Amino acid sequence: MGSSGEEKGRGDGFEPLIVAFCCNWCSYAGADLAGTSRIEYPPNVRIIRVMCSGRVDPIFILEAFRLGADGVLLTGCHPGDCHYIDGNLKAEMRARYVKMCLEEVGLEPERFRLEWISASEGVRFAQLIKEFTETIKRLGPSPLRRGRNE
Amino acid sequence: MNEEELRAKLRAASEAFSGERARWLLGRSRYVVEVGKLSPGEARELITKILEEELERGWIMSELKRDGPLTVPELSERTGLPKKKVMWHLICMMREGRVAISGKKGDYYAFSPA
Repeated sequence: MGSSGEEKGRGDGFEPLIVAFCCNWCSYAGADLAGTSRIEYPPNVRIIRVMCSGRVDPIFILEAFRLGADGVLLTGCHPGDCHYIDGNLKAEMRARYVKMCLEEVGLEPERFRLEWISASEGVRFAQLIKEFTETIKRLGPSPLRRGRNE
Repeated sequence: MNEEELRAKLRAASEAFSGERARWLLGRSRYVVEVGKLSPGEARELITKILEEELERGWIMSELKRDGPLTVPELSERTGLPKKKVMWHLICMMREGRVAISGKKGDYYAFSPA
């Protein structure tokens, strides 16, 4: 991880690095719509496309934090809309325990968020990224940020 | 909490989620609730309890992988868990075949990942 864009941000103000796991069928299409509709949102997010939010193992989220991500976002289809019937419900259950684990570990659980975004919600995607970036800015950099280039 | 400690705890959390017990329970909990074996509250409580236990075991395991073999007092000092609890976790982990006694350090047995 680590790019020239981030490095520039370090000097003046804190620019968080957010890893977003987006499901192929809804959220990624929503992110794509935000892009094609020319809706502006902060460039702090790095999107990883997965086939389903249910594919995201809690280990992926913990690994993102271990490698220095300031925040992790998991987005999937709205309940009932999952391409694989109930993958998003599995993600919802795991997310609850990931939050619990983060608290036990000593990281703020607000650094991780699960949201539902459909393919038509480009505006909502942009709004979510704005909100989440603000939340992370308020929380400050992750204590593991220094290990980001490992 | 320092950076190294936080990193070790995150490794432990990954260990906890990759363990068979936690994976099975997370995967089956909805079914267990649907067939009425447990109420949603009971299932949540059980998973929380098991994850907490697995988190502690994961922490012990990550210490053993990093600096093993280690004794009960050494593990207790590193993790901050009471010696009694460390011993209990080690016995459970030995039964599951995850750790083994690999020698002695003074009066204490030293444990390593199996």
